[in-house]
Amino acid sequence: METIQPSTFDLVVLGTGLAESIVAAAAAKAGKSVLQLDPSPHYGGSWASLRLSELRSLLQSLSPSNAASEGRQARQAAASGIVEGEIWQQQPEADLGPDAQYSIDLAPKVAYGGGPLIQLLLGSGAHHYLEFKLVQGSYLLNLGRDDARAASQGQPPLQTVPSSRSDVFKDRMLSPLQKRSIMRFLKAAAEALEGQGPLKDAFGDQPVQELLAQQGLDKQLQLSVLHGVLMADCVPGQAPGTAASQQQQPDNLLPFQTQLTAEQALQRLRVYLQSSGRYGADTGPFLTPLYGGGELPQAFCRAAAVAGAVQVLRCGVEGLVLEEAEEGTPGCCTGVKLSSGQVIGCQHLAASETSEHLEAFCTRGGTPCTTLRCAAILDGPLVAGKQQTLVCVLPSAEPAAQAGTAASPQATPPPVVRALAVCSSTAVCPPGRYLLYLWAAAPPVGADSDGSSAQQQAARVLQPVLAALADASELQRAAAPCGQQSAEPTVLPAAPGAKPRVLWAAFYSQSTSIRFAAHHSSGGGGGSQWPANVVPCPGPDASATFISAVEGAKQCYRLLFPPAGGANVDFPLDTRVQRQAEQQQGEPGDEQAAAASGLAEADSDDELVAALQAALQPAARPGIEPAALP
Amino acid sequence: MIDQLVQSKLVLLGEMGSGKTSLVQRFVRGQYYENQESTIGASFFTKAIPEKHVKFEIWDTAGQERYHSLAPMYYRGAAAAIVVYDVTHPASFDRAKKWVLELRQNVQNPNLIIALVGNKVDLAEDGARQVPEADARTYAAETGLLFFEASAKTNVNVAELFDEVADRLPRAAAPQQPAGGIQLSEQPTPVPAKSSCC
Repeated sequence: METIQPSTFDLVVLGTGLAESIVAAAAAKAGKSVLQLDPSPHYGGSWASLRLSELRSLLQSLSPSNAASEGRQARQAAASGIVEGEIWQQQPEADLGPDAQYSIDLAPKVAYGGGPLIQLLLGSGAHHYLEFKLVQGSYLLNLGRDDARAASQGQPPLQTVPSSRSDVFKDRMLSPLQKRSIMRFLKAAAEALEGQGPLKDAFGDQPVQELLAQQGLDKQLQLSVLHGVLMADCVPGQAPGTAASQQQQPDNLLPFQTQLTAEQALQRLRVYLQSSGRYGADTGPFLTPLYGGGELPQAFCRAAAVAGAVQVLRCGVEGLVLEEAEEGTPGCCTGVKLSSGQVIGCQHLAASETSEHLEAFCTRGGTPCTTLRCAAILDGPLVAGKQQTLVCVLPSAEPAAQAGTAASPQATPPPVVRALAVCSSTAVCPPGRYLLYLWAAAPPVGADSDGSSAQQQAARVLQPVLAALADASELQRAAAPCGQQSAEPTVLPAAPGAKPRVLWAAFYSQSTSIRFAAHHSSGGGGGSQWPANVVPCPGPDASATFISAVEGAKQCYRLLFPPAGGANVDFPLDTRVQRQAEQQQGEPGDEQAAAASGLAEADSDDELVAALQAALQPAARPGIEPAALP
Repeated sequence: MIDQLVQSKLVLLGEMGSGKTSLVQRFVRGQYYENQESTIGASFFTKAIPEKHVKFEIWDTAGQERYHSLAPMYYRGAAAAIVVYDVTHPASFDRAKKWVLELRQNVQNPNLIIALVGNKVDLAEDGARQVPEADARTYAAETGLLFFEASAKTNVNVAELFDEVADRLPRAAAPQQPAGGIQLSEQPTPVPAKSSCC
């Protein structure tokens, strides 16, 4: 290993995950000298996109029989936060196509087109390195509904989430009454964002469900807004309750609980409305990067390098150099010792929370935050004619009604599951093959009484959802998986209306946010063993979007380099964006007229047309103006 | 006119100090200069050659090659690569051969154009040459590479190099890049009144 020059840096970053890379790029941009290290041969850590063979061997390294033999991959699994995993395959084994054309996200998410991630990309210049595709449809699948259970063979009854201004009108599953109530609500919310209208004081700290119910949205619309628009996640353990709590619930409230307050919901609505229609009329708010989410950390790493940061892959770290502190006060980290023996001095250290070197400071007993994940390869699109789709799957309130879970009645109900379908148009799999990701927050540890774990938790929770979305009947748990590939995958014609078949699926659990939570809950005082100049960077959580990761990264940066001029000092990567915001205003023009004419065909109620336009046309666009389709 | 330009990604590779960045600086600030240079620092350039209907997106390594830590993203969708060595440093020529191998492994575009460039020929006249031109030319011919000896300093063969690469580019855009990806841009672009696709 080459000696790294120079041998001291303002900031050493351990890991190349998304948050680590954002912190590195921000610090480099602020003029700090930055060294970023990763023991693995590729960028991305918990956020990487892997080839099929790489994911396979990563998960196989977790099985106890392989623990000793494949140390490198086991370490990589640990660095990715993956704690258990298993592979299921179609029998007989299907032809999956060229391995090199797969780019499977370990932690898939979607980006708001006008959200904080895109702002950071623009602010850092990293947007030059990426291309995106629009998520073309957003849906809700309520497994608690009778028709969802009945449709075990054909297409599941997906409900469209209103993501563009004409979606509401086009949707044949919405009654005129429902269309009116959703438009009224969105109009009032848009006004409230500007401090006007009947709801301007209504978005307080009450649970958002209460507000949605008060505004006359029926249950279906409440679910649609809550999970499809506000992207609220079900809080494990509080979700569809026991028989007792169901009895207590007023009829107009949902059986799902979230901790989202109305005030927080309004801010999410702002991002949603700013993102919808940004890349052309009638487009939804979400983007997904070409070649997979693993490109994002790479883009920020490159931005960091452009600003002078030094990156070294395949560079193991033996340990941290800690300065002895007085009794009762945490010491400081003054450097890292590399596997090569070289010692690098540092003023600050940021490390992926999965880094083993943080364990010395870890407060034990914190609640682990585990995300259950599934990456499946299908032989057809999830929704015919749509290349990228997002689905929110609401579990059945009655566990017994779920197919495939004949096991003991679960102590906690299944969580809300996010599903993202992508295909070769985003260059993440070969033509003729389709990727379907599922993920959900794991119920708290201890809730699963049957610790026997013949079936691991990820498969137990997600396999029934996979079976509801696609035809998983030929899927079996692989005992001894082996690779098989050819130049071109064969495409068998599917019966019309039939679900795509699942050819291959990986179920795994990714454990994150343990140390991050422990660090912050300690509040810097009482018994905290954290060195003052060390910050853990959060890994991917179970949320659907990148917002939490970006906010976490910004928080890390501020902990490392507290802003001198108060809390609202610019984040280094935001500056260009903010400068632009002063120069530009939104420019509604032809688009508005075209949208209006389109709406008029669908509904003659002029007032409501105007209302919907007002709601879905972001009146005060922020400065960043990502381009239209080329 | 801009609409008729085919956008082509060109990546630079080569050992530290072989003169990658100065070659690009010479090219970008030459007679074809248009004020389209990116503002993100010295690692991403755009440069159009209108008469050849090409707009190069030129990626410099940003120093990530120093510890062999180039991201796969660097190679993605590349239509052409310029591998630079220093004619006064034999080690940089050996390294260039390794870069050619890495390119072939990492770029899935079968039509990738690779140009091998011996830089700093201005120094060769002073007797400092260590890599004979014939050796490099033979290697390039055997491996199917374009070959130039050039000098960014005295502006020898720089324009010729990029012209030749532009001539060899397939008329269509890089086939590996799925069409229709959204590129984020800071420039306000009018949103089309009606999106016809998707």
